[in-house]
Amino acid sequence: MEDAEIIALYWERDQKAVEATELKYRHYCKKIALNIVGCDEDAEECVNDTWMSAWESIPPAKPEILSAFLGKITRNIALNRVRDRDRLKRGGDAEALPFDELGDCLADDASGPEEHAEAGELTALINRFLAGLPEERRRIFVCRYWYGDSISDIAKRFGAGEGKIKMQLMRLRGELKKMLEKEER
Amino acid sequence: MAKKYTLDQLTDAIGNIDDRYVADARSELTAAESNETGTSRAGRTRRRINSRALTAAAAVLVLAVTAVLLIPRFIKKGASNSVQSGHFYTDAETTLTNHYPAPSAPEYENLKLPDEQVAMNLYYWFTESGCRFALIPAEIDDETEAFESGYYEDQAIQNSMDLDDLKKLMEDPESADYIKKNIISVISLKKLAGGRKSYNYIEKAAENQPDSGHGDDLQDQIDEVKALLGMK
Repeated sequence: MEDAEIIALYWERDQKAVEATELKYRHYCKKIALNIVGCDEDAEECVNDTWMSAWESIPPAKPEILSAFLGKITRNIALNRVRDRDRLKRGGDAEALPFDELGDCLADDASGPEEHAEAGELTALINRFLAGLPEERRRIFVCRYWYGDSISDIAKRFGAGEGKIKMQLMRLRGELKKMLEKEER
Repeated sequence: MAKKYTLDQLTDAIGNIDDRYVADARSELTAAESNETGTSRAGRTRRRINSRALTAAAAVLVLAVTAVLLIPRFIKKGASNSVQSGHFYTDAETTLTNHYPAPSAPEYENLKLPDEQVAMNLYYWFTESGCRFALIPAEIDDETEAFESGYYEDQAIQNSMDLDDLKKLMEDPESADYIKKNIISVISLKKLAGGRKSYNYIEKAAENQPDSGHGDDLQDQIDEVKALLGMK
């Protein structure tokens, strides 16, 4: 079923919308959740919560790209789950996520007066960063830091060695850090 | 005033990037993934949707009944209930602590992320595996950058092995050919650890390297590996 038809079903409040969504995007959302929560059972719950959240969001939402819309919901649900889990674990025993590498992009000096950026402002900055990247480098960045894909998955997908992907990601983080620092001044 | 970002803020901000970039990064995969049907759990979600209104009504009813039944008891036994809550909390904490014990080895004290994992991995290799050197793949084109970024550590962990393993690998012509073409340098793990002077625990681990059975002179081993790989 086409995405437009699925969205129309949501707007008609027809519960077949959920079935159609699951049929088409279950695997896609499950992969995102699994990359983040790392456990099949938790990933399943995240995916099921995604359908529920989509049902509650559409309408009023009318997604232009349904896959990205659903993926964002799954990503948020999975991240919140992991953050709750890590808070319970305490003591720095949290499992490492691909997103943790983004710590390289943050300012080294965390002291001093600070003003936390608006979330929208930061997203706009990252959109500008991505817009300035060549297609392949942008995709690699998104695969790692949006989808949470493993280095080996990304390497296979782009037909490159893992070392090369790591190196590219490291440079991308360096470039993002420079852009963030420029913005911070 | 300078703006600072936290890791969570940055992660969340990336989560909200333009949908086109999200879709573009997986355009060809989405189609393949979409065709996977799997076991439909839509029925479960549908039941959740249908039961939501009922659940809300039931919750109100349950709350009302609970309040009527329990409030007099709370008023009567307020003090003892507090103590019971305290006990429960302590028990739950103990359970969590037992389930997720914090690192207790003295070597792991004062470790700070993100180097913690690197340090622990290196420590493991030094103390447990007897690995003495790492092969650095030819993909590195900026050694300083690679070293500072921790890339060497990653590669050391992934490509570290002992001499016997390497000898076995080199007996296979295909593997030998691949290694000769793709490995540009050999680095000792001791040298690698020594490069991170700020981390005492790694230095300590390096000092305590067990005898791997290949002799004490690490440089001899490195030379042997280089000879094996046809390097000068």
